[in-house]
Amino acid sequence: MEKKRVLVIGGGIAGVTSALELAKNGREIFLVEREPSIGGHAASFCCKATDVCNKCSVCLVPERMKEVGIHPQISLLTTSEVREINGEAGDFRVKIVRKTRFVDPDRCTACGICSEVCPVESPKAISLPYPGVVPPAFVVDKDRCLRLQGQECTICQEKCPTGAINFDQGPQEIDLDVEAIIVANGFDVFDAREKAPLGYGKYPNVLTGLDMEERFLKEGEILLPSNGRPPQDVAFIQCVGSRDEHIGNGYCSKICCKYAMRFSRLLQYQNPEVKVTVFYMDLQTAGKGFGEFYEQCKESIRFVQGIPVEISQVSPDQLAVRYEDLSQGKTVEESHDLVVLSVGITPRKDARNLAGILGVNLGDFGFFDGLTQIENTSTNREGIFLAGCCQGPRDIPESIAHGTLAALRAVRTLT
Amino acid sequence: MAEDTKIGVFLCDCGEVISRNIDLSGIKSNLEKISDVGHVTLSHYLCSQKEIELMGSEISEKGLNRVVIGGCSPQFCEVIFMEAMEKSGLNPYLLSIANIRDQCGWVHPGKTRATSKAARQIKMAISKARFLEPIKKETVSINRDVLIIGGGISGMEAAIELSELDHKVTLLEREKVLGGRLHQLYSLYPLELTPGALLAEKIEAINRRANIEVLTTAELLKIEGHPGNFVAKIQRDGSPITGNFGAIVVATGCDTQFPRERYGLELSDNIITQLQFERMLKSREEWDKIPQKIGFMLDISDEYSRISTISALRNGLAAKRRFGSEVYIFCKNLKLDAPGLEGLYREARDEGVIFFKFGDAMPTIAPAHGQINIQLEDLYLARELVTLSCDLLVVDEKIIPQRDFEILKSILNIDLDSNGFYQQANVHLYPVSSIRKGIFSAGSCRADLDFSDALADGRAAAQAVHQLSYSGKAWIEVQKLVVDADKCALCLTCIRSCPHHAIEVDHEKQAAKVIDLACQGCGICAAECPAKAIQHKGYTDNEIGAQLEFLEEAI
Amino acid sequence: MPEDKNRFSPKIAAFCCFHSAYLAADSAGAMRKSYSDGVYIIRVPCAGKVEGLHILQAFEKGADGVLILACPQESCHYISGNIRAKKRVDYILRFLEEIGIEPERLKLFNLASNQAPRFVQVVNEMAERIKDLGPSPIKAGVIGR
Repeated sequence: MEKKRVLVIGGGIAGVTSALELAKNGREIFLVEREPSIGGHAASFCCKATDVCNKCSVCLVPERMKEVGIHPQISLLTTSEVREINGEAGDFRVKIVRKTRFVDPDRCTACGICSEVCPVESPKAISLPYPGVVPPAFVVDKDRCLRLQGQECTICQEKCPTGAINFDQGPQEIDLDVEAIIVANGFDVFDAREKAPLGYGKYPNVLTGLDMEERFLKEGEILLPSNGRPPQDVAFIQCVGSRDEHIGNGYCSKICCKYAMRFSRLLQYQNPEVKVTVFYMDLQTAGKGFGEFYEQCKESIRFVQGIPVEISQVSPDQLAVRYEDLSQGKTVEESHDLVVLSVGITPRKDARNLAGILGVNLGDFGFFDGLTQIENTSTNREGIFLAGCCQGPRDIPESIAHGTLAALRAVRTLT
Repeated sequence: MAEDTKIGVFLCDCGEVISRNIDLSGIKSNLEKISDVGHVTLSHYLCSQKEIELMGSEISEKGLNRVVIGGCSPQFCEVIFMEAMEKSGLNPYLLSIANIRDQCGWVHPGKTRATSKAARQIKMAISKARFLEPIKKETVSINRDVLIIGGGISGMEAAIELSELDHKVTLLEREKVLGGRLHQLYSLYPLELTPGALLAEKIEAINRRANIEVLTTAELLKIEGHPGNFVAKIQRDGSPITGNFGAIVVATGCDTQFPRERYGLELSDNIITQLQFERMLKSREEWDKIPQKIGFMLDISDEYSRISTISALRNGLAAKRRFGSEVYIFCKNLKLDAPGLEGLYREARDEGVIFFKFGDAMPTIAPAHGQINIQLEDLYLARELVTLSCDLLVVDEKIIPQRDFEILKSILNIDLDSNGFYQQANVHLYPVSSIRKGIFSAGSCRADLDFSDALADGRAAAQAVHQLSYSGKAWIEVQKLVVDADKCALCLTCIRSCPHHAIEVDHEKQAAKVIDLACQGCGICAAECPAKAIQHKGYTDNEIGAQLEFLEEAI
Repeated sequence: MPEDKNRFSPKIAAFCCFHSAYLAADSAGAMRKSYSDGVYIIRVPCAGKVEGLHILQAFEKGADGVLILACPQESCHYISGNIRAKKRVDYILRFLEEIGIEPERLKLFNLASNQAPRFVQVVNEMAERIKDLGPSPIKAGVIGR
């Protein structure tokens, strides 16, 4: 059987799932990823299990990434973006621009010598983005690398044992012929700085859900940025950037209630003395097994129905959270030492640009538009499909399911 | 140890990384002294094309019959070396890997101690290698036909998708007609299509496809066989039918129940369930009098269901638009985490549906003078006690598994979650797998899924089945878990312990037999067997014991 | 830290479920986190594969401590393996007291494949605990091998 080829745009969990499903059915896939490594946002999320799994499926992401990395039918094109698409279903001609990454992932063995000899410190200007990265190759930080700032340094290039580093490498243009395209370029995390009264970026002890993920993944715990000590009294604020008509995000981001509750349980598992409060609008507790999880949370976590409007700093290690206590009918101010803003999912800032290149419509709130509510992996353009959060907020199991469905539809174009 | 072993040890430096704190040359000299080590090399990039080819020729030329690697983690290199071995004619399972980079050099800074540990790890791997036995790989044929149990939206969708992927489908439905809960729904708003129109569309699609056989008033009685080759005994109108299928999809949907005992609330003419209200909306005859004030009570029967919230929003809005009644929705938390629900909520609010939030204190509901009085602590009014009356109160129901779910579970030997829905809450099974290969569940029979999610689930099941059986063949590792019939006393412990129901009784041999296609290689059976009749190739007692030997040995 | 010359160096046999702890250990390596070099990882496909026999054998062959590292509860790759592992460990713990081995020398932990910091914490804490307890009492009693 002649191998039919599919282009998947985006190497997050949805794109990776689509690629693997198609590969399992004997197809050949080009997976184009803008960043130097695949995995998307979920690759930087942490496990929030206590002794009991929380069913978030984050652990599946590195596994799938690895499968893609070694799969003979999947070609990874990292630091690459789609520039132009011509043709139609069954015969798309795609122009890809592969930006310079200076380190050739096919030659790099992740030995780490370049990082050791790099004269720039804390952090180094060349490093492995994180363990388990796919492809397993080092990445140059364009803002910190001396050579890229115009200086003479080429130490890493000289010391690299495989000659994988080349600062003179320029961007490449690649032409691909494919039969179908799956768009899976994911989402942007809501920028909490847009909600200035909540103090993100101003007060060190105000973090976002994403900050928490990254710290837990690296260190396995959270310490107060202000003094390096474990927090004693944590507040989670839900719906930051979601269910908010004022900023045009009139939808529920779906993942935030769950991750806040999972973090809350994890914090208390690590330190039973820690106080946790969750400020919410409507708790989203539907989901397999989640009702029982919430019942357990209720025992030791304080849930307050009301979203705080302002956070201020009382002292370097103490924050004041002001909210309307609906049950008392008045404004209350209480102190916490760590505040976590549960930021939501927003469409990619460059979604419009990519939609233009693809000739695909954007829908509600700027996400890619599914053809109908039922056929939401198909688009207005035949042969082009959608997978994952680029079409709307989803959690990891749903992104995996959606990626599977996109593959199912894409296969129809091929057979 | 089966034969005279001749071990090839291939040490890898991983680009001069490992040798920075591990004296690989020293280790190499030591290893050369071992009598059955026929070959030791040290290379910089063992996984490179050149080195792999070299490995292949060394295996053939020197007649090596075991390969030991000292290098990075098997998760990165195992596949590559197995392929190299296979190409050179050596069984790929005769491979043993010492992870001296990720689990030694990278985590133990001191050179002496890291070298000492690495040497020990490699010797453990060599020791294990002596006991390794080859495992054969074969293809077996898999039946591409599929049995789908349940003709609701998930089942119908799975049937259509699979049929379009050229699978022959048998769709079993217990009732006289296909459609499941689609018959009960009044609307699918914000989808413009009505349930009736959607149902007609699906049935037409099914009738058009020659490779879908629909069996209504039919139930599954029994299955035998194993993944890839199930034999199903079906009963239809009292007559038995037998069919052969490679995979089975359970799509039996859910049921609803109003738990009267919980609140001492009796249903009546003006306290009705959501299901009853849907029926009223669908039929014209049931309306004697248009209710002026309709209340929807959520979160008293089932606090964790999105389906109830969606029904209330849809039907509340429909009632407002159709009758102009005042509509109230009482709830604790609105479940709006699905596409379009926030919009539906706002639309309802904009059109005058009034929402009341109560906290942990349940509202009191009391019939009074032909109306229903509701009293609640209104969260938006600082818990002020608010009283209203409605002509009609529509209460939410608990979403429960379909009747006879336990019977079907026993017939199929699959798992339930703690609420009786199919598929336990284990992330490795999501979205549609069960503990048994080849058996899937889709739709509201496995999770709280509204109509469009249930439809998508049916498709996911179709893809899962297709991925399993599209080629009509599957690779198996032949008897990786093998039962010694002489030792087996047929105590059935292994059969009961296997989480995947992958062991059956071989009546000829009077012993248990592992079904290779269904086996997932966990080894639990081998660990549980009281007679030590089952050995797990690659993890036999000898292989594990050989590694433990080195805990105290000097180098 | 592992290179403490003042106390004895414990040998710990760590049976690691490949889908969870083994991968977490690899991750710890990629992060260059340090842990006690007396920890020897024995790969198993599932913690449920580790038998009482293997645990006792580990002590017999000279382990000062034994760890069984399994998937988190309700997340076993093979559904029930971690439950069986726990039952087996509880069973063996009853024996250990009878034969004079302190029960602190055998422990089961649950962790996921992406919990590298937890892997390091668990093995280091075990190593410290064993250092305090001293060499396994069996080692003195075993004559030759």
